[in-house]
Amino acid sequence: MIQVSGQIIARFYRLAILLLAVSILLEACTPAATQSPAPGAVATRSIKVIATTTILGDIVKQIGKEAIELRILLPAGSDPHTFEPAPQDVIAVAEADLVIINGAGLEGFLERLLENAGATQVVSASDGVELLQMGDDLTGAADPHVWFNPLNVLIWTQNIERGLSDLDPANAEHYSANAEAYRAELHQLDAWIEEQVTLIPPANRKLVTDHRTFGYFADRYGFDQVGAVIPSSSAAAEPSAAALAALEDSIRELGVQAIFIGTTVAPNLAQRVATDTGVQLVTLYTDALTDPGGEAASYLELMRYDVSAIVEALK
Amino acid sequence: MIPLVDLLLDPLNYPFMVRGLLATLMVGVVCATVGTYMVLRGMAFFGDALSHAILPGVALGYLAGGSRGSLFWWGMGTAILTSMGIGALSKGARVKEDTAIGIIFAGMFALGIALISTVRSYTVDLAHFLFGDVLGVSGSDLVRMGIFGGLIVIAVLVFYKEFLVLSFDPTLASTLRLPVRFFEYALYLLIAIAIVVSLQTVGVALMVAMLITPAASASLLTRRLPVMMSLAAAIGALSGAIGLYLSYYINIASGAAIVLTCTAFFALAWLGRTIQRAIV
Amino acid sequence: MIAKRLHKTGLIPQHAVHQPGSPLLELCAVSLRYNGRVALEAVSFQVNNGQRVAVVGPNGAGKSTLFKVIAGLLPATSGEVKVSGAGPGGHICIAYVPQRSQVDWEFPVVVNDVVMMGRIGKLGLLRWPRARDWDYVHHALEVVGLSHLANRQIGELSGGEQQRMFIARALAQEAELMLMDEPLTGLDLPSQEGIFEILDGLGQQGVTVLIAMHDLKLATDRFEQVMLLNRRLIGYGKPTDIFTPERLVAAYGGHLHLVGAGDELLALSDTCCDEATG
Repeated sequence: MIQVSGQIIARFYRLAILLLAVSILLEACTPAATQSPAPGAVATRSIKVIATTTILGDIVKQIGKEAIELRILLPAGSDPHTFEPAPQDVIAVAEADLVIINGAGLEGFLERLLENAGATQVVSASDGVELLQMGDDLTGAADPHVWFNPLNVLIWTQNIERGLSDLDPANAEHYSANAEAYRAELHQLDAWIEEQVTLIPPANRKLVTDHRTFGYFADRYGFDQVGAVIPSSSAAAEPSAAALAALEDSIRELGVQAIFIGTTVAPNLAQRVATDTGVQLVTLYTDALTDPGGEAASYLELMRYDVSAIVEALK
Repeated sequence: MIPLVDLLLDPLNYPFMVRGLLATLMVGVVCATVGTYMVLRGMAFFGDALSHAILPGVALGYLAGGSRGSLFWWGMGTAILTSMGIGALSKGARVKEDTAIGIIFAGMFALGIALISTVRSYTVDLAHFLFGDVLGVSGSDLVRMGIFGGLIVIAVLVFYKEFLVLSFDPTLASTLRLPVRFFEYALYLLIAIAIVVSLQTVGVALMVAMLITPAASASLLTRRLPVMMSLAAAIGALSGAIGLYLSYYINIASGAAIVLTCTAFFALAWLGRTIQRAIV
Repeated sequence: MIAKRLHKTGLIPQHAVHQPGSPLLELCAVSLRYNGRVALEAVSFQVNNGQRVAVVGPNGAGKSTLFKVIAGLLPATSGEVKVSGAGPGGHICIAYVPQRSQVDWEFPVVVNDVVMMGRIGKLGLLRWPRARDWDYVHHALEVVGLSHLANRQIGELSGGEQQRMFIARALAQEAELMLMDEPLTGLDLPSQEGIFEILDGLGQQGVTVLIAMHDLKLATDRFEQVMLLNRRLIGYGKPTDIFTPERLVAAYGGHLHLVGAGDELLALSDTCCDEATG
C-alpha cells in the first residue's frame, strides 16, 4: 500500500513541476514590449531589478529608489563565493527586467543561472573598473572586491544609471539626479577615509585578512596586503600547511598587529593563527551588508565601520 | 643537502603543525584499533555510512548556534543513534543489512545537506566537514580526542577476548551465554565514537580509509590478531604523520595526503605478499 | 567483584546447576516452526551420559536445527528441552561444533587461540587466561593430538586437524554435551579413524556426543545408537532396528534407493541438491 501512495505522490510532483516549468516558459517568452511603458508616458509600474549582492543592491536602490522593485539574490550574511542558487532564484531571474551583477568574476554561479533562466538584460556594475590581479602567486584571476575603493563605486553608479535609464527612459532624469547625489556622498567618503588613514603610522599599514579582500583598498590608500589565511579571493579555497606557516612567519617578521576577518567566512583557521602568533582578531564586514539596523546596513556605513576598526587596531 | 633532522623538525616550529601531528597520530591509532574488527567482519560499508550519517547532527548543531565544542557532541549523539538504528533495522530480517545501511546512509546525508542549505552562510564549513580541517585543530579538540580515543583503546583491550569470540564464532559466543547483542552494540558504539573523534583530520569522505586501510595492510603482514591490531595502529599513526609532512612540503590537502599514504602502505604490503608467495 | 555486580544486572546469566539423576539430554515433543515452515515436529527422546548417537537424515531434515535448539541458540515453538534437568539457556557445558565450511579460516588466530576461546565461559568478564586455563588448553590439544600445531594459523590445518581442533575447544570448554555438525564429511579414512579414536576416549570419560551425518554405513558400523530424523523422529535405537527399509523410505523418500545385493540391502543415498538446512 505504501508503494502505491508513493507512485501517486511522485506523479503529483511531476505534474506540479511541469506546470511550474510551463508557466516560467510562458513568462520568459512574452516579449518585453508589452511590459515596459509606452515611450513618453509615465511609468505605470516599477521595473523589476535584481542585484546579486547586498552591497551592490544598496547602490542600486540609492539610484533607483521608488521607481524600481529591487530584489537581492544573496540573502544578508551569505557568502557570494560559495552561494548556490535555489529554484526560487532561477524563477526570480527569469521574471526580472534587469539583472545587475558585480562582475569581475565574483558571481561564479551566475553563468549557469542565466542559462537556466533564459535571456534577461544583464548589466555588469564593474564594467570599466581597472581590475587588479589577485596576488603574485595567482596569475590570471582578478580580485572581484572592487567596492573597497569608493572611486570604483563611482563607476558602478555610472553603469547602473545607464542600465536603468536604457530600460526605463521615462525615469531617466530621476535616476540621474539620484546618482549625482550619491556620487557626492562617495567623494565625501573617500576624503574621510584619506583623513582617517593618516592616523595610522605608515609602518603599521599592513593588512592580514581571512581571504584576499582588501586589494583595492590597499591600492587606493597605501596599505600592504601582507597575507591572507586563505591565499585566494574565494573563501571556498583551502590553505596548505606550508602557506599557513609562511603566513605566520610574515606576521611575526613584519610585526603585524591584527588579523581582519569577515563575517561570512568561518573563523576557525584565522582564530588559530591569531592565537598562535599572539595578534588581535578583528571582525569586519567585507562581502555583505548586515540587516537594516545593524552596524553595516548600507555601503557607506560598512566602509565607515571597517575603516574605523582598521584604524583602531593599527594606529 | 638538508639534513633529515631539519626536515622533520622545521614544521614543528609552528604550533598548528604540532597540534595537527598529535591529532593524526591519535586518529591513526584509534581508527586502526576499531578498524581491525571492521576488516575482519566486513564492516567497511557500515563505517562509511556512519561517517556520512553524522552530517544532520552537525547541521542541527550549527542551526542551534553551537560552539565548535558542542558540534562534537551533536555529532556524537547522531552517530550513536544511527549505529543503533542500523543495528536494529538489520536485525529486523525484512531488509538485508547491506540494504539497511544504504538506506540510512543516503537518507541521513541528504537530511544533513538539506539542513545546511538553509544556513546560507558558513557553507565553507561543509567543505571542512567533508574533507577535514586538520590545520584548524585546537588545544581543546586535542583534549577531547585524547580522552575519547583513550576510552576506545581501553574498551577494546578490556573486552578483547569477548570481541574476539564474537567476531570469529558468534555461535560459540551464544553457547557460552555471552551477551551477544550487548557486545555487538558496544562495537557499533566504539566505531561511532572513533569516527566522531577522527572527523576533523580527514573528513567524512575519507574517514573509511583511516578505519580500513591500515588494518587491511596489517592483515596481509601477519596471521595473529594482537600483532595485526598493533601493526595496524602503527601504520595508521605513521601514515598520519607522513601525510601531514607531505602536505607541508609539497602543498597538497592534508586529509588526502594522509589517505594516499595509507593506500601506499597497503600497496607495498600487497606487493610484498605477492612477491613472497611467488618465491616460496 | 565487578563481575558479581554485572551478574546481578542480568547481563550475564547465572549458570544452571546440573541435577543429579536426570538424563543428560531430554526432549519432550519439541516442535519448531520457522517462516511458516515446519522444521521440527514433536521430537521426543532421551540421551544418557557418555552415549554416542548418530543423527541421520537427508538434507533439510532439520539436523542442524535440532542441534541449535538443543544448544539454546533457537527457541522451540513448543515442547521442552532439558539438559541435566534444566533448560539449555543456563548451561555453558554444551559445545556446538560447526560445519567446517562455515568457518572463516582466514581469521588471524592460531590453534591455541581457538581452543582457549572455549574457556571464555569459565573465565568471565574482565579476566585474562591464567596458568590453569592454559593447562586445560594444553591437555585438550594432547588428547586430540594437535600439540605440535598449537601455534599454526588455523587456515594451514588439514580438514581432519581442523575438526580435531574444535573437539579440543569443546574439551577446554569442559563440555558435557557435544553437538557435531557433519564432522566426518570430506575427511579421508585415516582422518576419520583419528576422530573416532578421540570420540571413543570421550565416551569413556562420560562426554555425550551427538553427531549429524549422512553416511549410513558409517553410522551402522561405528555407532550403538542412531537417530533417524526428517522433521519428525522416525526412529531412535540400534542401527539394525532403525535402518529398516520402511523407516529408510519414510525418512529419505525419493533421495534413497534401496538395492538388493544377495542377502544384504544396499542403500544408496543422494546427498546432492541441498534444500535449505535449518
